[in-house]
Amino acid sequence: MMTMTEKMREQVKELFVNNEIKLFIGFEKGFTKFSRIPAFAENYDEAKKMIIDEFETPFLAKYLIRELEEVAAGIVEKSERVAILTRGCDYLGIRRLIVDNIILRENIVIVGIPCDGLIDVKKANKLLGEEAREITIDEENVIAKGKTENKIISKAEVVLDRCRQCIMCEPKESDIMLAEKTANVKKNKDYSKIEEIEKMSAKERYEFWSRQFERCIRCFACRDACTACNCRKCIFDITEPEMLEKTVATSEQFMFHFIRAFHVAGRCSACGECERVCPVDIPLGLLNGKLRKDIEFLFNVEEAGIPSEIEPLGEFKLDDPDEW
Amino acid sequence: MSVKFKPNIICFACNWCSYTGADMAGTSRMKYPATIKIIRVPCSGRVNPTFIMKAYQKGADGVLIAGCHPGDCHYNSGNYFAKRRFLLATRFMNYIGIDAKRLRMEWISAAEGVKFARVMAEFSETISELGPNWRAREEV
Repeated sequence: MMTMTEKMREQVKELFVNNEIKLFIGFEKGFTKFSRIPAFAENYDEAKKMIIDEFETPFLAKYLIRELEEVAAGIVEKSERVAILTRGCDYLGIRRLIVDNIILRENIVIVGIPCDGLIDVKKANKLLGEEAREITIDEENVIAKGKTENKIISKAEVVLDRCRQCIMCEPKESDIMLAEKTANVKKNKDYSKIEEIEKMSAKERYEFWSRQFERCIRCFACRDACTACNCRKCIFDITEPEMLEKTVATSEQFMFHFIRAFHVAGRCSACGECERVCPVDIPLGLLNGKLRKDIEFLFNVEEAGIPSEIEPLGEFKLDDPDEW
Repeated sequence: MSVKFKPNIICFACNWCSYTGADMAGTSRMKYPATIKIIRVPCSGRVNPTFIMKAYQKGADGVLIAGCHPGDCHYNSGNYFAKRRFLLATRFMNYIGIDAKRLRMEWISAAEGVKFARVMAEFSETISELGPNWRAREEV
């Protein structure tokens, strides 16, 4: 049986030979053994370095803006196509961009990968008690090799936090699918952490979030990684009016996080990329999750994470609840 | 010697109903507390939740948003959108620790000068009881 990487190379070769695409976006090995970084290939030779495995990967959907925005806006009169490796969560991001009219569906070739959750190397290291030298992944287990001992860990233990609440295990529509659907682990919407915070008193909540927000270095990584944050001119960058000032103060941190979270309210697809890229580990998922939870509860939306043509805050019903 | 706390309240009033309602209250010589500062907006749908955060940051102790009654909006549907937005924003502010009691939304029509004066007095009373807001407020 061919592995997904081999199959991907075969398909990419075919796409480049038939001159169907100008660019292929995938992953390659990063600076450390287990890190994966985005890779771009303009011909087949460049695509040979690309790999697919189950280590934590960055999101690729945001790169489509750079590549295809001008084509979609009609500034460049070429029908250039870009192929992109797509997991279920990436698909939600791509869908977001299509719904927002940033890119066009016909310019994208979706190369789908079924996914059962990505492996968090940090968690594996923690369980092993040292830096793993070798990690092998099979169907159900992860085998981490340390200096002297090996440890077999079940996949469910080392999967990324965001993958536990995954709402789409494989892209809903794809042009090329690299493997059959995997037997996927049962995943549940889990709002228990949010409910815990809701139960605190207002003072405790304020102190909790102050502690979290005070760490923020305002690097804007959460904004840059998010596919819902696709405004051409971001409110944080403009100085007239200056909604976010440059002062380093708790109040500004609150301002920043409030604006960021509320700007993606009803648009966030629960991919958890903001949380993953955060250098100081602010639980941004708890902010976005709260908004999703409330949208589902207040406006009878079944799944707030799935992008729809009309956003929950872009429509209204006459019988919306009345209590504040 | 203690000085009685005088709250700072920002009221975003819609041009067509609530601001005219405030006018009505004024021309009818009704009294309402001087703690309220009214900012006129074209429609309650114009009020961005960011404005509320900004108000708290710059020293407001309470924020009141007043708009037309549902169905009466000058722009047909602005207040329905506003309603959805503030249903979410109030809960979210409460979640990050800013007291939800400090935010209030009211529907006040152009003829309801009495209601305007009553709501302002009530809200001013509530905020006086809650005391000054230090959360998410700029340090000076």
